[in-house]
Amino acid sequence: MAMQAQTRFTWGIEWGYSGVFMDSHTFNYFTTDGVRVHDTDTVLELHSCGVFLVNAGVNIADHLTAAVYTGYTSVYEARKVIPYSLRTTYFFKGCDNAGWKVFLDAGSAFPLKGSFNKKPLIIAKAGTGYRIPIYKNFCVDGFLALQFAADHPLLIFDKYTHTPVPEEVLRRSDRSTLGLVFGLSLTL
Amino acid sequence: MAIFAMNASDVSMKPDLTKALVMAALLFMPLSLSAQPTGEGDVSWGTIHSPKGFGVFADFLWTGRGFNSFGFYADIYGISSLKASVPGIRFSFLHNVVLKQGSLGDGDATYSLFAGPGLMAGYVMDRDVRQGFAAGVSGDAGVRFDFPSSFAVCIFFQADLALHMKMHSQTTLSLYQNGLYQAWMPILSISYRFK
Repeated sequence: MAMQAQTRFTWGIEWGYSGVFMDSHTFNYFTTDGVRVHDTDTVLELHSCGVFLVNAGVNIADHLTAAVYTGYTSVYEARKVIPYSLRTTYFFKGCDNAGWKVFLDAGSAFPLKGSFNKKPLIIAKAGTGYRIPIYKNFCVDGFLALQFAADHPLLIFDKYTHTPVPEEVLRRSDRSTLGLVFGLSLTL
Repeated sequence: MAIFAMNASDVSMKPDLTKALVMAALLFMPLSLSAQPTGEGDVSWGTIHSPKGFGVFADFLWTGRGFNSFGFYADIYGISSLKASVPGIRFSFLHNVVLKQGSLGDGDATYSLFAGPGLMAGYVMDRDVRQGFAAGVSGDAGVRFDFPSSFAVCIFFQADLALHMKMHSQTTLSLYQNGLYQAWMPILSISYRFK
């Protein structure tokens, strides 16, 4: 029997697999010889990582929830981050009923303590999923999403010598990744 | 009706291990083998989620005072730190006894505190030692929540006392340290009960 969602707070945990399959970069820097190098490339290579997030939110309407997410993930090799994002989810059959959902998620991600690159990056997700109510407000969701991340790495390597490029000669450093994330979540 | 809550009158009965073993032999037939109202014979199939790894499992309930659990999961130790590129695999059998039962909410859901011994075997990595065969005894303790929707959620901890055999240039046998060092990592399982 369909249940009408009440405006209430929710919280939950989410975990899964993140497979970054596309990595694109544009670097512009000076070499020790004073030569300016413009390095741009897009690589299709799989980087696997786990995802673990916790969330707290509110059912703002019968079919709509908004929640803040944080946790742990990785956007490319050696770039483990703690994301902070806002996710808006639309449930086609209501927040507390079994059915499909779609969501949009966007925010920032901060590097772990001790990371060389202390700059935050932008992270966003768009995806779908299916909710199964288990008991009253306790639900299990499966989800699948496309994740985009945009970063400005401070540590890059010269494309010819493969040595680190000093930060003071780095004129432009853009790196973006695209990946697939899927997993399960438990929501109360 | 919750499985374990209906079996309060059966507390004095001994577990029917013979029936449980027959169910184990029919591992690939997750249909109900019993119409008894106590829930004996119910089979739960589900997935395991843990920082240790992920996999699938099956629980076979007996007399409402416990359940036998057969698990198979991929051991992901060393994957994130690039010590290993391929996960290990491990099997486990646990004979869990329900120590305490209680009801939740309106009484239609139950929780059960359980613990039990078992066995484990697998091909896994141990600390910085490359993958090798491991086998030994295992033990777990946790809490299981059974809901009227036939879903069950289990949170438990498992420790292994096992030996790890590595065969490379020479064969070495040592204590499977991850079985103890990773005992603190929680394991979450979500399953569906077939009556």
